[in-house]
Amino acid sequence: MAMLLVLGIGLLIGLRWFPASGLRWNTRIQLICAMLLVFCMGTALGSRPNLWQELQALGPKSLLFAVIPTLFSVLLVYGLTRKFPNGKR
Amino acid sequence: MFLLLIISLAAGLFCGALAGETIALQISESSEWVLYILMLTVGISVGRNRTVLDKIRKTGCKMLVIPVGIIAGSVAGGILCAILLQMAWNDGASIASGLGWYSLSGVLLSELAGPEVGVIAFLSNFLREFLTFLLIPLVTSRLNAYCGIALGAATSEDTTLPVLIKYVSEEVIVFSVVNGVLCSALVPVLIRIFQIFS
Repeated sequence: MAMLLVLGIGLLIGLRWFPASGLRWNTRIQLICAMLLVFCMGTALGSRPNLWQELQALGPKSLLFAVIPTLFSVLLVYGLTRKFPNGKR
Repeated sequence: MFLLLIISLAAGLFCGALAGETIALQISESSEWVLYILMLTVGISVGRNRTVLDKIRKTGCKMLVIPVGIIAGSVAGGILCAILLQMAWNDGASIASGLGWYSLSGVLLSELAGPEVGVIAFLSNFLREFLTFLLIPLVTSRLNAYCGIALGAATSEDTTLPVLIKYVSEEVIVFSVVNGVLCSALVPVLIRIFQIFS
């Protein structure tokens, strides 16, 4: 819940007070934080004893999680937007 | 950006293998503050998009159909994957709730659900973005323009928008940007909600 609160505070700051000139720094801080957290994620994974066997299993799982949710969301949006104008260029 | 994150991941894997479980756990626990800073910057990015609210007010509920469809479809797909892979249903829903935002979903789920789920979220959402680049021409020609937005989900406001622009009308581009902003705002919320069920 604290995480959502922090997100909400950020939303409020962005909506009311954050200057446009600060957006570039905001993006850079996002990237640095993401890199640090991905590093920590890698550290946690790297310390596991059966790492390589686990990584071999994670590839196919990741592919399944990429394909099926994408397919479902495309099909559902297709059904919901059939009455919308064509929208193609 | 992806290259930088891959380098960070590789560096982390290497350090983790050398350091061992105890030190890796200490590093993981101290990363919580970094996550809060990231959440704050994400909120700021989304909050700065004032034009999105104006566009939603003008177009009404019609514009919300696409993000609702994307989220519902993705979460349903994620739960199905979890069942097929004998994982917890809420982890599957959380992974799919990344909606293509691989950097945030990967690190958030690594903190909340463990590094294995975090890596699956990272890789699967990266693959979703990659598939979007490949499939936009086919999907927009065979189905409709809005399905191109559905492919990209949260990335439809930035990284996959340049590809979408070539195949859809100006009105749909507006839908795409609004959808991307809404989906991006909801990624951390959805992940957090599904992880409550752990």
